[in-house]
Amino acid sequence: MNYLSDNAYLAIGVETTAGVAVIPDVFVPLMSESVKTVLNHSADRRMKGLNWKANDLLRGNRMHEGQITILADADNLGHVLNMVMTKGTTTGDATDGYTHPFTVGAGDTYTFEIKKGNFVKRYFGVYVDEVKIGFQDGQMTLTLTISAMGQVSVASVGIALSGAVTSLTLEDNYDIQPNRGLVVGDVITVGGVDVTLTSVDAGGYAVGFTSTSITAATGSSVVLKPLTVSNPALSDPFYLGNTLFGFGVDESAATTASGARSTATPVYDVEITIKNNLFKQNGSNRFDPAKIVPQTREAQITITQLLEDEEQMQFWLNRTKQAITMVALGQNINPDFSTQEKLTLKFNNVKLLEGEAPLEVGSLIKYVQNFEVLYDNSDAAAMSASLINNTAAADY
Amino acid sequence: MSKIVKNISTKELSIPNVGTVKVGEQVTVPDSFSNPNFQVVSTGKGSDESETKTDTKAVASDAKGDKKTTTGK
Repeated sequence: MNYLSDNAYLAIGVETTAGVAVIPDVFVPLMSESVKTVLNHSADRRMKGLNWKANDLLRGNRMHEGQITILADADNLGHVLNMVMTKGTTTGDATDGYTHPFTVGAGDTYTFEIKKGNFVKRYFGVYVDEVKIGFQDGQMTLTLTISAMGQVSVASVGIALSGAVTSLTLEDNYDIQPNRGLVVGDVITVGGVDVTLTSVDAGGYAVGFTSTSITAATGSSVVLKPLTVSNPALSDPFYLGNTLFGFGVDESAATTASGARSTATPVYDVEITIKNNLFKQNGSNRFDPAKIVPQTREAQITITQLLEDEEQMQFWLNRTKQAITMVALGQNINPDFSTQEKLTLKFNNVKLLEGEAPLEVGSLIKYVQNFEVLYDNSDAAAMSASLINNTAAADY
Repeated sequence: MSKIVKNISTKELSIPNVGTVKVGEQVTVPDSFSNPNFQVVSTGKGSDESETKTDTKAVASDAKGDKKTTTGK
């Protein structure tokens, strides 16, 4: 049987405890993904009287990482910000939208599920190492580089099943706790029969379910069954054409400039990279990373605008402080058009790392600027975000 | 085999090959349906979970939505 990528899904759910999986309930339309489990198997090179390299593979330390690209609508962007920054107190209501403030700090961990044909890969303890906010065809895209504390997808029967049974013991060839990542309520397929889990044994091997007649030999596959997709009415992504960029000597001036189309500065391309620089080193306790921890945060901004005067060149040479506020406006929330989806990103202190203005025959000169986002001593902040959307606080 | 499920999320949701389901609304789905935004109300035959088997598409109160708040994390 063959499977179409378009039938796949990405579902995400906020974890209460980092690394403890949940059944995800937010479906995020995917553009592409390349998340994979790096097993780091290696050939068993012990000398055994063979004239061949090896006769088996040995386990290695594992990583679970990769990239996910999605379009940034106001609701899924909220979850992404909740992964990379600390969410403050939400205000607002369903009529006018919910306003969520975000500051630099630890975000929440998530469980991600990605459907792969007839099974899903569930990654738990998902952290965002880096998020790139850019525009493709004028549509805001988010490229997340993630790392996870583990995965569960396909397992094997450890002890054969026959007749009416209420539990299943999993084989430990892959993991020392093979039921890790499974959750009460999950549906697994074993011996061609679907069962809903009613317990996940703390010992790490067994899962329980109501009495079911199953015949399955040792080594038979156990599959975490995909969910049925459910989508809310999707908002449009944020568009470059409805985004305003304000530049100023400080955050206040930049925010004022971003407040009106007449004072905002047109830009032609932008990419914002926010990094958490995760610590994810393998160690003791598990074959997977036992801990994933954000280290020093940083951000860079690349902006392309038309060269209009020498000012930016002067700023680059002199390492002059600037501030940038980006305001992306989305769909209306209140039917009376009084409120709308809105992303505000404020960078309190940016300085030019690089500024280039290459010449091309027949073209206006564009100035490509690469800013380092710096901590601002006066504002006591490097950056902050605010998002107005339709997602209530309880969903984060 | 089919079963009846209720939308316990805070949003109207569309399900491929089923349609749009309002908050609190009940709908008949295939037995293979599995989604945390929906609560099983009754299954096709002799279900222990059976509460009603007839109120499909009847909008009921939103149990999950009732505990939503607009503040705090």
